[in-house]
Amino acid sequence: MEMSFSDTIAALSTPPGRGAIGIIRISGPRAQEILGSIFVRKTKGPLRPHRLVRGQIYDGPEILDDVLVALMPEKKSYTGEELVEIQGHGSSFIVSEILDLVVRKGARLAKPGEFTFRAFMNGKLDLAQAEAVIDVMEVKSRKALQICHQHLEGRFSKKILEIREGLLELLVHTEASLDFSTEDIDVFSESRMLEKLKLIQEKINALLKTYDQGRFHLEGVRVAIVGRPNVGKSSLLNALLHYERAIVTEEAGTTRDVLEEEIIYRGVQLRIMDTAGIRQTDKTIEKMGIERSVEKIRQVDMVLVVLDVSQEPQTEDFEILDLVGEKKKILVFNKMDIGLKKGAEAVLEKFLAPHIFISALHKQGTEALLEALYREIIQEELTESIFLTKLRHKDSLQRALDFIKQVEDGFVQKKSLEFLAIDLRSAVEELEMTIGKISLEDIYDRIFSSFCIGK
Amino acid sequence: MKHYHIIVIGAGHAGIEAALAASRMGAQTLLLTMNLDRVGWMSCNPAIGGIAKGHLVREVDALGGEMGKNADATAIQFRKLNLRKGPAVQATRTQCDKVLYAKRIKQVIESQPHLDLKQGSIENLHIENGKIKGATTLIGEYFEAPCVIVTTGTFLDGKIHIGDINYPAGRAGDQPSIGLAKCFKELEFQIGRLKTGTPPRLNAKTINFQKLTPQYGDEYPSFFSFSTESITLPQLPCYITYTNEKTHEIIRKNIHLSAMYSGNITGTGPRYCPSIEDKVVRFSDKLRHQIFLEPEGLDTQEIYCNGVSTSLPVNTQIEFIKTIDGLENAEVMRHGYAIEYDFIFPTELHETLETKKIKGLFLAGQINGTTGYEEAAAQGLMAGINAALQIKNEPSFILKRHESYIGVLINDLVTKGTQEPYRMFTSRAEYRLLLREDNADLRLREYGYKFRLISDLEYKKYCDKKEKIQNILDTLSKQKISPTEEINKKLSDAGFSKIENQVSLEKILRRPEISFKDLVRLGFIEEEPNKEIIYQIEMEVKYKGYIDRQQEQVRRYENLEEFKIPSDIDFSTVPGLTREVVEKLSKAKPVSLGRALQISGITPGCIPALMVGIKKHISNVSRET
Repeated sequence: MEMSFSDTIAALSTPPGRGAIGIIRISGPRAQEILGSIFVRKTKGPLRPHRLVRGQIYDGPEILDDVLVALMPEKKSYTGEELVEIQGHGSSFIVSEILDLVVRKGARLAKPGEFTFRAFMNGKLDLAQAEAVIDVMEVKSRKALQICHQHLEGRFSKKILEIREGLLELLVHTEASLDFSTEDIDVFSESRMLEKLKLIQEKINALLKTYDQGRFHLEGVRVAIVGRPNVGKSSLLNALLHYERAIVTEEAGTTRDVLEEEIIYRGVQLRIMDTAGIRQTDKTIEKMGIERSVEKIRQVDMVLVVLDVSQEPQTEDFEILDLVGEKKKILVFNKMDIGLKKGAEAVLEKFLAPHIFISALHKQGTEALLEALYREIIQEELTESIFLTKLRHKDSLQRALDFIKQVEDGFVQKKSLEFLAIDLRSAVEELEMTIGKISLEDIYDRIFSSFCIGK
Repeated sequence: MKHYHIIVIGAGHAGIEAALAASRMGAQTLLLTMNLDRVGWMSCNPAIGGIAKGHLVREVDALGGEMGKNADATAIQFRKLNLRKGPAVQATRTQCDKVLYAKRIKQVIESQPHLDLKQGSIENLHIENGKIKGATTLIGEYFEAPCVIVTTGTFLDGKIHIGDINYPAGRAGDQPSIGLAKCFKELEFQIGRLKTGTPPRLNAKTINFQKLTPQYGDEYPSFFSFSTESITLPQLPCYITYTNEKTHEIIRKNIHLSAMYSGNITGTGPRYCPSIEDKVVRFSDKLRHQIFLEPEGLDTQEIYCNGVSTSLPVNTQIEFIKTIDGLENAEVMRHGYAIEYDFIFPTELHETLETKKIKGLFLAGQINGTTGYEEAAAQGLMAGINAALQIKNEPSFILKRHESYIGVLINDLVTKGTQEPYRMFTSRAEYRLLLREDNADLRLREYGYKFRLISDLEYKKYCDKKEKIQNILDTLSKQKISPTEEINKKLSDAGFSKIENQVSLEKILRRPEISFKDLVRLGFIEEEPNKEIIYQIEMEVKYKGYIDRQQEQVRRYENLEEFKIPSDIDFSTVPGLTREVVEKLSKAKPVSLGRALQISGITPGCIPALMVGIKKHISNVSRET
């Protein structure tokens, strides 16, 4: 059998630096051979797969470390190749000596993610799973971890396969009724087909709806604090962070650049950005800052519009609200400690949105603000427990859905099934883009096992 | 000893087309058959065509083959299938008079210049330095030729099974081809074993047709051949009946006696053509199975019992037949049986159907793992053309998947191989909308003429048709109508909605409710062409969106087809390919990216990696040299 990877890679699998143990992994066709050349086990006998064995690592005559070693044979390991794990003492000196030895014996240092890449290439993981492995490394909350595991365990792939299965069933009936119309076979009626199409659409729609939340959990929610100068945007950032991150002065236009900080609230990572106050100005630097603020509004998932409730609302406030437009937002009426003018009502009359009264300076109302923010993010009730997290997956599903709608339209327009088959196939292909692939033989297998055909 | 350019071994549906094409192209050709009374014999169904198979026959005809003409001339029923479905899957099927079919085709062969028809059973092929030299018959006759086309059908080491009885045969009543089978083994071809079956034939005088539903042919038949003008023979109906629980009970009780279930048969049978015992076992919840009773000819009482192919013992066959409605007293004239035979893995072939191993040796028909007369004829024709081109030292002729079912058939066979008898389905063609029965001439006539396989007269007829279609299409796109009162009155009087802006006639015709004939009726078009032309025009206009989409797919594929894969590339060195993909590519050795995509399991996702790998390989090689 030919191997896709002819070289053997090695890497430190535990974090660099001092730890209780340090694990080195070697993967590739020479993994076992390399181990054999440096390892002497305590008791006699051959290494048995998936068993920890104690022994010593020798560099020539010198002992480097007392270690535990596990051997995972080709096809049964994470990478799908021969894989060796050496568990040594966690001194950064010792592990780097062992790694150096392994490299001298013929392995090369692995690039980041290369073990997972090989696992994918050798068919141990499908594409969606491999992507999830990479996500897992970045995870910052419990919920995100849970979502990653959905993908890692293949539950997402299974979901896609389930939808694909539904489409294939329709394709089988479509093709059977075209190629075997002279046979006495029971193919789905048009209404049955339409019913099934509806079900499939519902499933895809439910998945599509999870995308925003999925992405929020995984990548965090980008929140911009905007408002005209000196309404207390930076104070709000500081209040949310519980420390003086941004410089706060009485002078309007202090914040010139966009500051970004993250906090975790109820397991959701919030990436909060303090922006320059928006107003007409001649100062070049401030102007550039304002442009960035406007751009941020476009990029983020959620906007906190800060208004000074101790003053009457001003034209600039309304201009900013116009700028924010349809974007998800919360109106933050700040400086409630100084005094309440009637301004809030005037604003709410024109811009109905969730709102909250706070005093950033006295850190009053910030908890309520976070809670309001959280509720806005996790607004939608989801029927699907599996989350979409990748734009690529979302786009594929959206295109699949479009094709399915065309099939539906085709039925209504009384188009012959051979035309609908084209769209059905395209929909199936879109789903497969996320995970894997089907061949035509699949369809025949199904046709001939579902229908009795023949002379 | 006589010298030929080409020897064709076997005078079945593949051999006939091969021999006729080769001799018509000017090659001195010998057609050898084991039995001169069985030339062009229909060993199974007395029928030609069907869904996807009809498409093949139309293509064979467009290229100048004989099957379409022969079926038209000897048909005793014409039926267009899938009439209620779209244009791409509508297909022609005929019941033919089995004896007249064979008689007419033999006459055609006998009157063909450059073609000798002889009886002889080939025992041995002569090969020198990897080239074919000639062949010897059982009785020691030797023929010499630089090209040999082998079309042995089910005869290669054929063996018939009925119950626990089995005996060597090529078909009931005929000897198998043993020597030739041995010869292929010695040449170390990869050989597999396939199985097929045939149902009993009944005596019409003993069938109670009163109880059965007749199925008549079409009142206005459409023909296979672009040259046929009218029906020749009287027309007969088929009859429909069904098996029932009683039938199934008998079959179930005796299932252990079936050759298929006793373990005697090692060959793989086709899934789409199961025996009745298979149907009863695998689809046990089905209460009845449909049977078509097909007449085998005008002058015979034999009725082909389509739907109950079987290898049960004769007595069981007789017993279960009598349980069927209308067949209570039916006499079995010939019993059904299963036959297994050798086939050569078609992956041993070039797309010309020449073997990769031996120059000048071509294989066509069931020997390549296919089933069906039509699949055989298509391959025979292509093998005949390519052998003749090789004799003339001209470039070979390969049809593409997007221009014909023949291309799909041969491409599937040589790239994917087959595990069961391969039958054509419309779903095998990814460009199905482009490959219709109705446009087979527009797709392929030019080739037929180029090889002089169609006459000047036939070619002129085609050119006229093509020109007329183009003219009318031009008119439709150029001619516009304006929303005048007069025109809108015409439209609404005829029950169509009015127009608001100036539109082309093409756009009007694109409306689902308006036909070409309506345009004539409304006076927008002056002359009404014949129905074939109207059909083409409506196709072109009404399905334009889908057709354009498929043509776009073809263009994309053609680009990948242009991207050649160097034969010395080691796929395992291409980064980014999964191990499974590397294995598949290494085995199939595709010549281009387009071909690579046709291998099952090779996804579009592999293409970027392959492109990079190939470019890198090419630049490495050029640096080294």
